[in-house]
Amino acid sequence: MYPPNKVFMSHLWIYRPRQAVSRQSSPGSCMTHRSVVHWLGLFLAALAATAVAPAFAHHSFNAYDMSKTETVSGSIKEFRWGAPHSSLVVIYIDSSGKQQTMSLVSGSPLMFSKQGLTPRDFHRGDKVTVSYHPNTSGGAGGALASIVLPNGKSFKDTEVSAAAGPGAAGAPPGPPGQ
Amino acid sequence: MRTEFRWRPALKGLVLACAAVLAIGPGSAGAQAPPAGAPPAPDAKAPVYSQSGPPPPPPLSPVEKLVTALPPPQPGGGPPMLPLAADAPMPSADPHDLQGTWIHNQPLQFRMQRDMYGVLVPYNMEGAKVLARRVNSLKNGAPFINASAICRPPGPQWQRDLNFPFQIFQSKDWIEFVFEEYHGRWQLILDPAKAPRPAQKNYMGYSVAHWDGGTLVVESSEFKQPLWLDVDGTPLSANGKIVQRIRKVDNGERAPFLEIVSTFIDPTYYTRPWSVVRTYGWNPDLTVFTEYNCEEQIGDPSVRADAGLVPEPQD
Amino acid sequence: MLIIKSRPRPGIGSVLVRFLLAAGVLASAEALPATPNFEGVWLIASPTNTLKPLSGSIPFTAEGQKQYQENKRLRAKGAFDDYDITLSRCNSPGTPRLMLNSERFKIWQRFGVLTFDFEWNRALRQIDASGRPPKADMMGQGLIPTMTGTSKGHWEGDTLVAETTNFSDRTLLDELVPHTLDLKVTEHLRLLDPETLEDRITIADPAYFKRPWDAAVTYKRQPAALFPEDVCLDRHEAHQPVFPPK
Repeated sequence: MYPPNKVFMSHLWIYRPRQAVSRQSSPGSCMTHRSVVHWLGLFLAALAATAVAPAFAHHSFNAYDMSKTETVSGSIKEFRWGAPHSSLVVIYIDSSGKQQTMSLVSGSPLMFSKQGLTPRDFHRGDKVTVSYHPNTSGGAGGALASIVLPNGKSFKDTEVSAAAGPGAAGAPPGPPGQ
Repeated sequence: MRTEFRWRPALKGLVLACAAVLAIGPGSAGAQAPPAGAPPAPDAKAPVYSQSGPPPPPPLSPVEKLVTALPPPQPGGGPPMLPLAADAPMPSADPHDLQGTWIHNQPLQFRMQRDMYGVLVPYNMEGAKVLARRVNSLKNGAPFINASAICRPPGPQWQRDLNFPFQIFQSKDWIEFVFEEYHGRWQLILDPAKAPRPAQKNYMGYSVAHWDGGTLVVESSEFKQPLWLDVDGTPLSANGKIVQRIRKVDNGERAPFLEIVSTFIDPTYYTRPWSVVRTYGWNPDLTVFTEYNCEEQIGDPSVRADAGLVPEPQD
Repeated sequence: MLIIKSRPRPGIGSVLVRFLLAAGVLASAEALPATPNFEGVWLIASPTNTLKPLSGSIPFTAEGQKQYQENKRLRAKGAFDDYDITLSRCNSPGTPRLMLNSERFKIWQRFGVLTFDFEWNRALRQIDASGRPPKADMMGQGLIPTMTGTSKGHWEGDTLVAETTNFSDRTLLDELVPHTLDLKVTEHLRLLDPETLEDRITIADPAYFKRPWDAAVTYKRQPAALFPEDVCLDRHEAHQPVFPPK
């Protein structure tokens, strides 16, 4: 699971330098290159072997089976805001009727705010329906794909959608060219 | 510090150097030209080339084979280092005053494969095996527990190397580094009489420092547990020692930095001491830290204390 | 050169200089001394687990009273993780509860920013009195409610006035009193004398309190010291109290 508050994630940020070349026009002068580092806000997800496993990723979303989507209804135990990743703990009833918790990882606060969601939209005890790509380890939880809140608002994790894209199961969506 | 790299002159230099080497090739006439008609007198000191060019490198040792065969580390990024404002305060002119706010301003090295001279890290077989096991644990989807993953202090090297700011405060008796990440702290003791050894070993070790001219030499040892020097797990045993040489550099470009050369001394894992160098750019604008509160997640009693990671085998 | 002074400049100095500047006696703005210096090691004068109003009792709303009673009930049950994740997880006590901590803390004052570094678990909080714009926020970090909140300060003579907002609702004001995301904490920090620091704390949270209310905490200056490395999670795992008994 992605830990919030950039616990283990921050050092996995990849800053993609984009070279902007400026050429001097006078003949005989040396060409100078000035590198301007542009922040593209690309994240490499930490992969997790189990439901709560912050770790160090070599590839995004490797810990999740992107070809499968599971759905569960339950209630929010807590929602942890963090950058680059937030996480959600959901209480649900498993197939044997027992109450369990699962952790789901999701994106940055910007992703939520772009879809009109703020911390005030997530309350402990809220009944929610979530869809997610399960942990490859088999442990409960995974990468949040979408969530529907009791106030009718819903959220779709756009990075997860991109990663799960048609036939892209398991493909590491790292920045191109790296 | 980012510097402009001039490609054209570098290429030019390289071409000239190559030309010089070729021009001087074996057999060119020189002061020691042998008498005409006689074969060249063999010189026991000079290497004998069967063709022009340097000899092939020696074959990799078993340790080197093991380490170089590992999947490569992720490329690291670094923070965007924008120029300081024209009115930004600058560090003290006193070389013995390191105070201020600094941040590692080079791309993070996920795995220190080579030392500061570009030479392969001098693992012994024990160290190579530990590294290989750590790297493969991630590949196999069962990553090992390390300090960072469970919200514990990660040791001075990892703590400094993350691209997040820290402040330095100093008095005549000690110097304190306070880090944004892990709300970490590193204490350097200038006068051990004023700060006796802790009752129990610290994650960050015990660090004693003294000034050698303008360089602060810090010896860190007595670590509570083995260290991961970087994200991939370059090892340092709990008995290992890190000597850090810290100096403040101001080359007049309004981009002062700290340079820290870390020498790792650890016969358990390495055949000899080896060093890496890092720079930390000055940036007072980063003095306001982002809150770091890993305890909220790691301390959650409804999840496992090991954060779901796998304990590393201890040999 | 930043030198840690063992005694702060008295606040009256800055007042005097401003007067002299205004009167045209002092010619240059550079003659203004630094703002009051709170740097040093501090310890709460009267340890307490509760934030006591200066007068009367906490003016709870019905909602606030209900949540407060619920916290009491959960405490009696030992269900700590349901209402106080500092006790159950070593979560940062946040603002203002860190200011009630029974162990020492250091104040550093650099580039206009006050950094409070606590002996307990190496916890940190800061007050930004620099007046500088916030650093670039690429990922919406500023949208994250935090335990210590976002604290902006300014000096009024010898007093630092700090306002803190953007709180997570996962903390308590003290060992029991709840608050919401809308909490606003205003602090007036000043030196009563060179050895005594006062933090006058005003709590405003309309959902839980009918009106803002004040508490005050004082701290005594301590000798310079290095704090031992405290890792709350280790103590917690060893079933020791999260807040060590004094």
